[in-house]
Amino acid sequence: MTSLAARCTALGTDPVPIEPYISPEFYELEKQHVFKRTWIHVGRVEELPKPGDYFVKQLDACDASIIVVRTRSGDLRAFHNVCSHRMNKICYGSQGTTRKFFCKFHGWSYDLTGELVGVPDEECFRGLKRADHGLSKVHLDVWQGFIFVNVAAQPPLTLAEFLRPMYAGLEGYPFEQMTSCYAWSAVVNCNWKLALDAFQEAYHVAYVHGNSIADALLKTESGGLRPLDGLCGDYHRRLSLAGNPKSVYGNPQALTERAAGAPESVAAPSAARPIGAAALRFGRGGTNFAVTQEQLPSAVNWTRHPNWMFDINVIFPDFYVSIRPNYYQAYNFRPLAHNRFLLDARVYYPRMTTAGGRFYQEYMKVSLRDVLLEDLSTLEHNQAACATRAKTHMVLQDHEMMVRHQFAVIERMIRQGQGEGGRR
Amino acid sequence: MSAADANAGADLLPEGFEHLEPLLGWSIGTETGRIRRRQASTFAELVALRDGLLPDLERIFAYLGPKGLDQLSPRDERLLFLVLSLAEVAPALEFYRQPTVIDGFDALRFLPVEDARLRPNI
Repeated sequence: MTSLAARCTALGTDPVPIEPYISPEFYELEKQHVFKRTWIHVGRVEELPKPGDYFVKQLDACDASIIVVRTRSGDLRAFHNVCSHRMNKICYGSQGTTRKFFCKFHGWSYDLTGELVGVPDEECFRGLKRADHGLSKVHLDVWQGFIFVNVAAQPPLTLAEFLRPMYAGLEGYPFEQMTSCYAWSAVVNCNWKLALDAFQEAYHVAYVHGNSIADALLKTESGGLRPLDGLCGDYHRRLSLAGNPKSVYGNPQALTERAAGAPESVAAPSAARPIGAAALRFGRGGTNFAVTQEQLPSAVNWTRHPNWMFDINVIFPDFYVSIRPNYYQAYNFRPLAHNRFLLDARVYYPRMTTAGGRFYQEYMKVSLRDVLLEDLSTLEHNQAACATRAKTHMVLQDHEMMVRHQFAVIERMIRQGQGEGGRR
Repeated sequence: MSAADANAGADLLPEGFEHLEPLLGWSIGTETGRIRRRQASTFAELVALRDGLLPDLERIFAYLGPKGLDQLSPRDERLLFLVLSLAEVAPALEFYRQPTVIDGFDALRFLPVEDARLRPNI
């Protein structure tokens, strides 16, 4: 295996151009050659436990609104949210439970498998064959409980072919045990890539998070916050980070009974942070769920660092999953325009069984939310600054290699897509 | 109108916690409600919440602890919601020393999705 230093420079050391972050034309190319050909995460299987449960995702970068539903036979299907008759949306809301999908324009109805089952005044349509007018199907597949859709007529890769080269080693992580999910959303006036870049390096932590959680990450001897390791694949990328076990936020085992670091976690911050210390103290034993490092799949904390805190996994193109032993965060950076995106942010914890556990969970959750407000704080300034064109390129250090990798993959896919178009 | 005003004279909190009733305006059942109240408060009001609750936390969790989250009475829930507001204001008191995130993105533009399918009831 090559060293981190070698991997950092594998994509070169040139500055990265700004234009792709401010150009409407480049965004159109991304829609065509990336988003409309790639698997996009839309939700968890636990969100749709019963037949008839559905949700609707607006995917602007795919020019699509997608219904995902659980059928009576228990499988999941995805359809375009478009009536076959005169193109109304079938579902106006974002979620629900239904026996049929029913168009409010002229009353056409579809069953949970998307088949057309009802047409008012059907005899007035000449030779209408119901079987030809079901809802338009969208490719759907599931990996580790994460639901993905692909709007391409023929996806170039299966979901497994797409994900497993990088993420097979995460299989078995107890995602399905973490069913207490808190979500937030915001529309942010920033390019989606520029925004995601702010989440895939630790260089910013000492500054953007200097008031909050900077002390939760483990510093190098020179005082820097550097990743333990980073991996760049054909599409995806991973970064592993070490925490300071003497902080509440930085000790991933803090809540479990067997947490070796817990007493010192309480001792160190209790004077300056009595609420944080109380959360840790009263939360202990608040959940039945606990895993040890040894029970985690091999690709979690792949360097086996004793002070490992979390791994960042960027599932191409827009899905960020950061994994700890006892919770995970999942964010989608859904593009809306070249200079606007929807942050769809979720954190998943195990169910808490006691009031103390619930208090700890609330403390961790609102701390995370406020840290996200810090992460979001620079983005609209970044976009406005890019748009001035005062600078044409950004310069990157070794440990910002994920910024470079994101751009390189998108540029490659656009180049390939344009090449294929030229050969047609 | 705060919860305290709306229910004046009722038994609002479990026995032994009546002295916390002046803080009942903070007994709010949703994160959206709690963040809005935090954003609208002065720093001194956040300090008053902390100083009012911290000395009682031991007794609060000793009382609520054995019950299980799905077995709480309305009075128990009011007490728990009060404690969840303490968690809400913790970053303001212990990270930022002001009600809002320093230089932060507007919290009211990043509100919780309260109807998310997997959101816990409490």
